[in-house]
Amino acid sequence: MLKQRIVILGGGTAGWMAAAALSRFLPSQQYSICLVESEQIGTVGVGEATIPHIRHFNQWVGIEEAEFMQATGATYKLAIRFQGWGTANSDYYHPFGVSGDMLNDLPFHQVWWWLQQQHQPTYPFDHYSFAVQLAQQKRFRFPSTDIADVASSFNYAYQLDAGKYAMLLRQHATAQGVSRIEGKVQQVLQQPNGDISELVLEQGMRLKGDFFIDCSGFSALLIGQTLQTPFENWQQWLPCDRALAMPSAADVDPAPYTLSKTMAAGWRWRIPLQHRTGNGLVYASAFLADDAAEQHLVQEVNETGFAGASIKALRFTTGRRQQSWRHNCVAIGLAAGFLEPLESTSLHLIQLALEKLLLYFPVHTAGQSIVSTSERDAFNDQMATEYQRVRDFLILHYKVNTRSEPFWQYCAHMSLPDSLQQRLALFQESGQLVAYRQGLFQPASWLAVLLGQGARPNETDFRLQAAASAPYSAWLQQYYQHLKMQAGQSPSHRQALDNSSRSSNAPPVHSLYGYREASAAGGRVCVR
Amino acid sequence: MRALNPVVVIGSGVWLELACAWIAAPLRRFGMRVVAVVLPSDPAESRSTQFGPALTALCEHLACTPLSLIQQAQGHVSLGCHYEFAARQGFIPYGFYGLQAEASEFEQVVLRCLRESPALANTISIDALSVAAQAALQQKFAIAPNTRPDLQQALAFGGQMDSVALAACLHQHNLAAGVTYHACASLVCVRNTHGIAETIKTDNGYEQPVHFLIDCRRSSDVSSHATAATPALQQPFALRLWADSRPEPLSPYSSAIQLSGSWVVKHRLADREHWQCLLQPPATVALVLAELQQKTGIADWQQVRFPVPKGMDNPWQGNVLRCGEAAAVLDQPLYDGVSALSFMLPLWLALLPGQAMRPAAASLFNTQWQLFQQEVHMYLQCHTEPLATAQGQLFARAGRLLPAETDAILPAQWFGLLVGLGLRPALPSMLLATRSTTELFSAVHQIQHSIARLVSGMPSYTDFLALTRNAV
Repeated sequence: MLKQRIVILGGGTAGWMAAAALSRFLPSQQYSICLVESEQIGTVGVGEATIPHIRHFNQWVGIEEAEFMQATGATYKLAIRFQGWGTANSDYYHPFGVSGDMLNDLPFHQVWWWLQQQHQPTYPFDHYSFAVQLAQQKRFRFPSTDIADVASSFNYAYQLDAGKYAMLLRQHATAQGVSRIEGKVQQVLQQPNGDISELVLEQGMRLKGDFFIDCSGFSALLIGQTLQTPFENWQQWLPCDRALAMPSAADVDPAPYTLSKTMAAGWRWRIPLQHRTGNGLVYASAFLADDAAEQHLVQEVNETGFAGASIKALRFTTGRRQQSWRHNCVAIGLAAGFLEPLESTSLHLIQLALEKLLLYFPVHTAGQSIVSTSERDAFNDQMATEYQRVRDFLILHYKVNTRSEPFWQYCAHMSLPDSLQQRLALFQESGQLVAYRQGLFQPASWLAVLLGQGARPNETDFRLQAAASAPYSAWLQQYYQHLKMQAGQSPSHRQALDNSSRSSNAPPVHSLYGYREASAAGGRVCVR
Repeated sequence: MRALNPVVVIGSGVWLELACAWIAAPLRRFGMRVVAVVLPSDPAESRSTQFGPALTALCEHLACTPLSLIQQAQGHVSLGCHYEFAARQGFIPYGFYGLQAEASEFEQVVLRCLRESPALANTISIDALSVAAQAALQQKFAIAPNTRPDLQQALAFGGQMDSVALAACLHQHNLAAGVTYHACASLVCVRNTHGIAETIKTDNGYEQPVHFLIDCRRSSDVSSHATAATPALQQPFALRLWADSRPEPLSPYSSAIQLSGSWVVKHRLADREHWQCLLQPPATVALVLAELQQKTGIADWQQVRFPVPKGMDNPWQGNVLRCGEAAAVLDQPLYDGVSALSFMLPLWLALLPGQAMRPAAASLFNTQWQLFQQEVHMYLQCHTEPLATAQGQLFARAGRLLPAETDAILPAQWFGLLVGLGLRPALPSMLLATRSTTELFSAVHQIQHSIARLVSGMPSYTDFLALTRNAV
């Protein structure tokens, strides 16, 4: 029996995630998987910060948490802390968790906003999140699966070294039978029907394949250069087009969150790992010169401990290929599209593409790989929706601002995609947000950003007009104190990392926000 | 606190009462009144009503149990629908297949077994892999306890009810929830210069200021004086055929039989079985009647002629929700209009309009409605030409379902229908590729046995009814 030959082009995180996932599920008697990479090219190394779904991916490909933490120098991540977003002095968290509970069938944020309108004392919206309380106190514990426990109201992810993660995945993939070829592609050959047939490497080696996975990064050698798949440019909404990255020394007491801090024409990140700290800057070259950006990054990093490492520069165009799957080629990772790392979605979009690819994996009959439009369209449509919805959420961060710098003024006044315009209009009108059926970021995330950046609906929920504020006010006060106390009793993040060889027994849930949110029964409180 | 005018609901019969039932209690909790303006009954209204699992949510609003509502409405529970397709039979349950709602790839395991070994596949019945289907086909029924949410989902049920009795029952609930009623023969809606409905005026002199108007008429034009359907001459007509027959042994499901160009559906009611069939032009009535008699043994069919509903893509405009006209297009024997209303009214309530003008809420509502409508249309089309739909094509290739944007059709319904129609995917699941067929068959047989054991312990539907009556 002829084996179906799968060729993965590119050995960055996307390539090795693909190799690890496919080799885990495709039987070696029927499939051969080969990954081609060139050490000359190097990798972008995206995605040092992640979202909770990566726990599911690791489980999926057979990587234990303890092994993962050690191999990748990872820290735990509970939230992203946003400083200067919306207004120059804003400081809020977007947690992997929810704030408050449904109170008398009313969304918590409606009650919170109404109490503010009533001039009742309240804390900032994010302070009613257990994940935020832990993050602020630099503490960490594993989530609970008991929905009566406030610790069921959050989830967690990791901050990791992407290079080390790729190495770990490589070990797993090669142990599962993936062969690795070192080489640079010189030529791509196609069949008369347009399918890719083989890759010709610089050293003359010819690599035939039935199905190709393009993980070649920004160069998009197969999906873009060979198959000429058009690129949808989203730069009018996400105008940043440059990034700089440089490491610094590890923090003694690392924070369980990623920091995102604005600057005049973009933002900078800070990601604490066990062995170093990742730093970087994302900016719009139309508003900030490259040398000024570099100077800014060096200055900021020096303030927190400059390690003297070199700066890595990156140019990008935000957007995506109109189809990720064309002919017998699927693009995954940067070859499929790029969204800036503001919400740590890069690895998630790779994971999602792999999950969907396995759902629709093509057959190989009589030496021919047969792909029909049904599965290709389903894959492309679903990935398009996922990218578009993440895109909208990223645009939101830029759009909702009152800052005075030209870059931020441009963002505040830019026109929006219809899908985002509709969501924002509904929030503005009544403070409502509707959950997506497909799509990563649900109302809890949108509320964290909208309210954190100072957006407020035009009116309070009319159902509260007849309510008395005192019981609600008391509930909020009590809940806040309870969260704070519970968080204070949790181990420090440092302690948790020292004990990371003892990993969580809690199975991963496919929700950013933890078990309570994933359970229909969770989070409803009667206030009298 | 500013005093708002009431929400005014206009229409007749079960749709009017259902609309009030969804909204009256929640609005009352927040000090808002509901006024129902009752018009003469609509001849197009079906005499029986089939509710899906949304019935449970409705009953939470009404503070009653689904079972008590079904009994008061002269009906029976329904775990799904038994289909007689042209060439095969099958059961389409509301509850999921297998023993775990989130069981990864269970349906793919089944499809692979059916695909890879036709001989062994004969030992597997898709109906035997659904707790609901097994229970229904053995005339058994039980309500799972709250401690078993998994079983509650597996045995998700709705109800098949007499429309008049259901309307009467909901009416009592609505009165208790503070709904006030005014009957009239016709009405006009007075709008301001911006098109906002301000007042309803009836032919018998009643005037009611309006905060928001919910129009449950199947065919309506609230800006005109017309009430009863007086369609234009060119408008095509549909024909609803219906008949009653004597009740058979009690069974907790409805039935559907495929005809040459249509379907006939049977609802089991307390005192009779109610059959209905919808004919769209240019069906030949005589041929359908002959086929109906052959398939059901019933010769005497009543006929109701009414204009083919035009449908409505944007039912919420200004402060008016024309839910009746929107739902009418989906009100077919295979999909009841009450399901469409039971989607629209909770959604409207969730977007509760504090102000009369809520353009963003209306826009979102209409978008959601269009998605709902598309999913139902595709489901209905799948009954006759599955491969003409994106859903059917994808299932035939990969055995997967398109991601749903609404709960219009539950995943088990899609799976039951597509497998019931004989579709088998060309591609095997790669997530199962390393598992041997023997291993998968063994797993499926185990689940089949577990389901059989579970169902054997359930009471017969007759005993269940007797027990619950005694308990009451």
